[in-house]
Amino acid sequence: MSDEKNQTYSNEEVDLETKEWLESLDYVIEHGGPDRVKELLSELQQRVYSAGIRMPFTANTPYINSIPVENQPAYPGSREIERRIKSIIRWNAMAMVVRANRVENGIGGHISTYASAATLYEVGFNHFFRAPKDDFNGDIIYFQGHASPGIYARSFLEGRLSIQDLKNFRHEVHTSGRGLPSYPHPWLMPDYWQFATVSMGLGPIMAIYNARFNRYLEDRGLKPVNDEKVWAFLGDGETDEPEALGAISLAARANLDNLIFVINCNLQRLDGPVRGNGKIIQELEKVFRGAGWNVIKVVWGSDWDSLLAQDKDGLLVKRMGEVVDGEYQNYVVKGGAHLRKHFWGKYPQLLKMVEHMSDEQLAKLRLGGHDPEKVYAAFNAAVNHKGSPTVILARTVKGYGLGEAGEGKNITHQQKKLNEEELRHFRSRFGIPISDEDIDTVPFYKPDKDSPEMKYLHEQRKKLFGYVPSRRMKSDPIKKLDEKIFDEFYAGTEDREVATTMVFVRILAKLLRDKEIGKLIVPIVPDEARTFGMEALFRQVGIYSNVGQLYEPVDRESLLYYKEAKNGQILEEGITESGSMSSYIAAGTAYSTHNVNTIPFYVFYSMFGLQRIGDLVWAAGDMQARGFLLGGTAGRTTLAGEGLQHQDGNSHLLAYPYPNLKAYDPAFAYELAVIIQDGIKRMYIDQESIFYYITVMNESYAQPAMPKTKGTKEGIIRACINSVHQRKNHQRDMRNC
Amino acid sequence: MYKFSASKKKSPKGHAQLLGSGSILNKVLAARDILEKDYNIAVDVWSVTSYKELHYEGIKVERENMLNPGKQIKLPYAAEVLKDAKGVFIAASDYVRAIPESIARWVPGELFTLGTDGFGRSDGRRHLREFFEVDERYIVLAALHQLKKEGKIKADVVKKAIKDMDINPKKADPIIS
Repeated sequence: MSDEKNQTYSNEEVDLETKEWLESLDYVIEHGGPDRVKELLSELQQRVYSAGIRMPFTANTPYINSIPVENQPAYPGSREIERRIKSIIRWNAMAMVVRANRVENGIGGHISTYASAATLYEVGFNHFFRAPKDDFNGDIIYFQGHASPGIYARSFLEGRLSIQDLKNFRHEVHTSGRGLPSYPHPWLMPDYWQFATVSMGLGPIMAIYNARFNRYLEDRGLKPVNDEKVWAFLGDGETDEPEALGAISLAARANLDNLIFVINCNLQRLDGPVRGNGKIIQELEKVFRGAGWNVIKVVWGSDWDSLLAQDKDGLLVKRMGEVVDGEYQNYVVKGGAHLRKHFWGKYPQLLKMVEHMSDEQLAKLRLGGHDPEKVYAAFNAAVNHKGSPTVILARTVKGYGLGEAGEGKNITHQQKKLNEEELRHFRSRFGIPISDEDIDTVPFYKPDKDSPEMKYLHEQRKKLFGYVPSRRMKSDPIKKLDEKIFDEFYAGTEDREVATTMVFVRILAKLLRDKEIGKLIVPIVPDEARTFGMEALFRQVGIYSNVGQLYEPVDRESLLYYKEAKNGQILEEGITESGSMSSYIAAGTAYSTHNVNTIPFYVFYSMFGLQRIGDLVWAAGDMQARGFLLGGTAGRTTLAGEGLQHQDGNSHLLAYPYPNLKAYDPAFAYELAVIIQDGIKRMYIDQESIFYYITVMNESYAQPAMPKTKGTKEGIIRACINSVHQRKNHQRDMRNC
Repeated sequence: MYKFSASKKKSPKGHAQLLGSGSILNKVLAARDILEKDYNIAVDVWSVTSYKELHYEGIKVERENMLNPGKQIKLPYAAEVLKDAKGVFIAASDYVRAIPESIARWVPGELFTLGTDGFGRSDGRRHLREFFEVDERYIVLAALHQLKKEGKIKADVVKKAIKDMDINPKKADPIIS
């Protein structure tokens, strides 16, 4: 149809018509303003749709910055001093890795991740990351694990870590004093790191559920409405992990405008390019926009602003959009002449645009993620955005500043050694005052405490309430539980047959009604509440929803209807064990992040627990998340009918390796009651860094009374000598049993 | 772990200590009744709520013993509570055997384990427990087998028990079927 009609147009007519339309549009842009343009285009779109014409879908915008230069705010700090601070941190981060590998060949560590992300972090540290203060609990920051040397290097300048600490990077065992762990591990630095991020993909999903849990606490009145931001820093390669993107629709659905993802798009992963044949930034833009996120692309630095301003016919933007990431990587590695020939040389008009520039100038045209002004504009827009989460896609160069030693090269992720010449290059490029004689010892450098750099650094942190990362180790304990809650379970059921799953639900219901801790209980279910007989709780405490209930539930007439509420207590996560476990972690670490002793009870199909989400449970142990994991309808022969993939005879074996996970397979109601009672005491009064895995079953039988024999209670809960185990340098308690 | 029930038998043919967990503890209790009534074996039943706790406590105590040669040797909790227990030791659970096996060396005697290793089938509880050989009949059989090894009962008794309890010795092994 359209082809036929087109044939009735001559070329001149087509050109004339296009021109008329564009002129009309220009008129509206000039006189009507942006809102009128949007309105008009939307009208046109609808008219086109009504006429039966289907437009091709694209969620992409051109491959340029989302924030036009005229909308950039003025930079609020000293660019020069910040550059010097950042350079020193770059040097020390590199030195830490190089020295660790000189002491012990093969000890590992990463230079190139932080090298590419330094500007992203430094703009955050100087202007955005807020520490806790009074009843403000501090922004929650998931640092990208591989960038840890840079975070340590900043803490060193801040005076929070010593030279000895830096020397002990990746040497935690065979050194005196404090060693610095390879990656963020709260277990190993419990007063410093908050979140374990280095099993890739777990940081982003935990961040999403943490942002949601902050809202949950606020909506339920358990914390003041302070809108702490949750920042998650991740790599572009990391987004291939299903966990990284698997929950992004929840973030949009729950309107989490307290959540900001910063994806460091250096286009490379360990082995090679993330998307050699495509464009990762464009791909992620589509995915996130499709899910309802606010997407801010930071592709080009200020050096490109004037060139883009000259690009009246859109040819430069076209060229930017057609080059694949594998080629962009070539431009970084092969230098200015190559760049001129292959990027600019594609179109004569573009070549002309840069004819006044040298090859070196071309090579130095900075990318967005390395330009503090562009990064600041993006962060500023993100923290002020309302209604949806934001993702910042920042284009950077992996191994930035490493030069011949690995900038943009495929081997850069693994680069841990620099020769003398490479060290000199690095030093000179970033202007570190270290002499040629000293260079080979790769000394750490810290400016004098009265230097402008150090003064500035501390002043900026003071404005943001203190230093980060920092982890609260102790919280205010809860009051002792009333023993009476559990009496009925100790008495047994005589001839009445009940399953331990029902017993558990009864215990949970009683805990929820308790005046002291009722409000702290967080039941979490992945769409299995009815399987476990928990549906009575829907009505009792409600299901959390940030919008309440906008519909009349189909079972409204029944006593136990499906009640959603803004102050609902149950986290009904739907069919996602990873998401539910992430909620559990958020609730189980709230004692630390918010000084709120929420007690999560995550109830799931036991086969789909440790077997499915063991990596998150490992991270939960590292982060000392407290609470109870309940494996429901457990037991390979006790769960009837479900067969090979459901009937669980594995989970208790899988529970073995988690050092601080207590695992129980109780038979009777009183055993279950004793275990839960003791668990609440140990975790929330004694503040032990442990958590619980308990299986409950759906086979009904008479529950006996607890034997009166001495030692029964102790026999149920533990087999240990109570001794508080303390690690050097900090006081993380775990009875070693 | 704690003793759930103690035998009151005066002059039994032999003794058995049965360890059970989760809902399989009920099968252990049923096996106890059969062993006591039909075979005159004195049976104590132990409820083991967490093999993991026992395992970790055991290796912790052993490590302390190893590092402190001058000090008196301590017994792990499992060994301590079982030190006066007589006869054969059978553990049955609804999980893989490696779990009870993890405390075997602190049991004062050979620990024979029953569990649910293998992919399994979909069926009802009774048939699943037969398939995995964790029902009361197999617990009884395991105890008799071990008592036979100890010389407390004769092979004929075990043979007859297999027949009486309608156990098929040619049945496929659940681990590989």
